[in-house]
Amino acid sequence: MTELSRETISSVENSTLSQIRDLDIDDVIAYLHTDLKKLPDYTSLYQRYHRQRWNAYELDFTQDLADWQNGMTQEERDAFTAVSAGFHHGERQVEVELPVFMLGGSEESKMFLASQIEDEARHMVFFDRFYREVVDLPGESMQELLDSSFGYISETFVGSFGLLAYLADDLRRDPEDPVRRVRYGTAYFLWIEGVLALTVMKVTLGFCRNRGLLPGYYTGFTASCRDEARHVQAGMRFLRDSVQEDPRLLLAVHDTLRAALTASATTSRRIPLEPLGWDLAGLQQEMMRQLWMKLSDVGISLPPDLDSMVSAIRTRS
Amino acid sequence: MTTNVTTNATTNATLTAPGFLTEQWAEDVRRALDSGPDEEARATKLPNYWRWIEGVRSAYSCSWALGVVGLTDAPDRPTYLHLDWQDGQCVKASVLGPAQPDEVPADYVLRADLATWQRLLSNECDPRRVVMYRELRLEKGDTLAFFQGIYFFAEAVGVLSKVPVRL
Repeated sequence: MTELSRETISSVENSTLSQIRDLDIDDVIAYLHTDLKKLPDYTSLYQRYHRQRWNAYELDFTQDLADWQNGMTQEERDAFTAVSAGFHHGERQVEVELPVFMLGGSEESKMFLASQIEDEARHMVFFDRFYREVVDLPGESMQELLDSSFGYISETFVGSFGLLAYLADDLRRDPEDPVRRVRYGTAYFLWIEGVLALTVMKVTLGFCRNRGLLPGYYTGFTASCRDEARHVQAGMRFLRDSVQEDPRLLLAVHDTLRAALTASATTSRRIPLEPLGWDLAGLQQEMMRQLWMKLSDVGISLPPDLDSMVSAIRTRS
Repeated sequence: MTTNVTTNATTNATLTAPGFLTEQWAEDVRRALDSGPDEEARATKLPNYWRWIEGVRSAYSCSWALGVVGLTDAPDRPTYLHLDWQDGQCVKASVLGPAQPDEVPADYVLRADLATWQRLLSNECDPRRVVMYRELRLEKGDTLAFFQGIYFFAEAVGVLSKVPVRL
């Protein structure tokens, strides 16, 4: 991971929505990792939320529509629609499944989670606007539009979001149970936000940046990525604190990762990454790299079987 | 078993098909599950996906109780389709009526309301969506173990939904 200069960190940290378009997505992802070793407390992250909050309705998709219609091939549009659909649904899932986690934990964490729920709802609005105003999928209500894009999403997302939904149901039965909380936190903060989202967002954002296309999408999704930095840092703090307090909870992290990796190990259709400048091997390698970075930054080790599972994916890639 | 279903626009509900949650329908479901998806269905998905499912199924020995909530006869008590898997074969299917004890004898107990079942059996929704939106709720069984075989389950629900049934 690239070491960021103070100037770049400050630029990522303080950019307004209109300035975010000039940021490099790799710098925003690197910014997320600059704080992972020390992990800010929930109050600091909540204060940062207020400084970095943006409005999804301020984005202008006029140029995006022109780019979509005239600057991209059909193959590129199909690939972009398919890859982004995972986020269209993902933002909805992480919004609606988060309140149950807020029923437990410290007051400071609850305060921060309230801001995270608002973030996720805003990200959901962003993707709703993009699919409605640029991609032009049919659907009057938000749910109808989600139903229109559901057919595009791959099992990697269906399995991961489904796992989160069922773990949320488990947690609802006993919101203070440490094992249920750690299972949920591993699926949500480590796997979905820390690995899946941060990897796959590079695909569409890299395409936009390299080709100089879809400025509204690039701005909104890069701002979302900066929000994710707060979420992942808070989530990693939760996992690190939980395991330090009770090392037996490491087992819950491992069990959840095993299920997430298994459920993400296949897809029923080819994911069209090549038109966006990626291939499946490169994507898998980046996912495992993101996983290793998170685990090593917060000091979570893997048992031999999981270690082999992750290494095999990296080697195969 | 009677339901308050009034839909008549289903592709697989015919007047001659067995009724929903009858022993005959359960047996038809068992046979369909045991055979697995037909060639036409398999051809629409990647071979690697079916290999993943085969890897789960080959040694699968668990039981499922798939519950329906909101039937006219017993709106507050679910009725279940109970399926037994042994070494990858679906060896037994039966219907557990609303009079069964609270502790349903199955490794995984899932429930959905009648409206969800209607949409599933009318092929109006993608079984993967039913999973992602948690429309079939896991009431009993370990979630992480269940998800180790999630696409096997989702495809089984897809096969089940295509078995002719009179709603």
